[in-house]
Amino acid sequence: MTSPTDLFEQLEPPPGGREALRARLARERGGAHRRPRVWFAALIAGAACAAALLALWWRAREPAPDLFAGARAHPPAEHYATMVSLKMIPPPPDGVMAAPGPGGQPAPVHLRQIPVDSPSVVLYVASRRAR
Amino acid sequence: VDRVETIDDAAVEALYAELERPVYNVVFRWVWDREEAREVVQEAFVRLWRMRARVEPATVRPLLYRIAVNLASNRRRWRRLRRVVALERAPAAAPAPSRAADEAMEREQRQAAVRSAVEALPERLRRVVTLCELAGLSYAEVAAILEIPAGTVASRRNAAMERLRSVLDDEAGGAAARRARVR
Repeated sequence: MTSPTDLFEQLEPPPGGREALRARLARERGGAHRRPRVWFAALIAGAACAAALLALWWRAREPAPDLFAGARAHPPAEHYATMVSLKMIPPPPDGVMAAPGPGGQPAPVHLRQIPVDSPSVVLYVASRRAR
Repeated sequence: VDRVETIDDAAVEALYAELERPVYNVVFRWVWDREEAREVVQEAFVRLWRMRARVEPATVRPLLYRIAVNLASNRRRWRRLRRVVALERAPAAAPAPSRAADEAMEREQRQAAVRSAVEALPERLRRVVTLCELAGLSYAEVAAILEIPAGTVASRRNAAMERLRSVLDDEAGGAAARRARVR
């Protein structure tokens, strides 16, 4: 059975370590260790360029279309009543078309605002348009 | 090294002669490769040499161990990451057992059990147990290296030893069961 003490068997390091260290220190004195700093500077410069390009692209891209403005300008008939109730468009002075009407066809309706006490509630009555 | 006022080449070499073996033993239990452990030890000494102008001779030993353990931990993390993205080939499957290879196989299994027990330790416990048991450092010295209280070193060492015992006992039980099935 393996016991924890087996973990702590002392190993001998490979020979030649001191000579290898001397050689590395000699290289260090020759400035070899500065090379990674050049790479690091190049990396930083590259990242800065990439960030600048990204910022330019971000500023140059076209603005996203305002879907709500489009919907307000040309409200679809089937969502008219919903948009009015959400206060996205003002209530029409005359009738609006609601779907479905009799036989599945759009039918004209009147929206009439009912005064209520609560300012957070808007109440409309939709009624079939008088012919 | 303690007597000198500044760290120079001779001091670093003297330190290497004194600490190469214990540092190597600690680092090996992180990277599990003789060549890589040697590289990490060399790198730790080179980094110490680069910092020599700012290092107090009295704190040079804890600093060296701290550098070595951090380097070894980073190597291990990097190696695991490479394995995750499959840049490193998975270890070859173990050969089929044969009677002639029984003894060597048992030794390999024991080493594998030890390795997996150490690998299963959380990093904070592994740092403590490798420094206490492999570098032969006191709790106070390990506390100085890891910058934690000595009492924490003691409790983490005990917790690590408990876990190692548990993992190794499970492994021994499993191996015995496997042998019984073969027979």
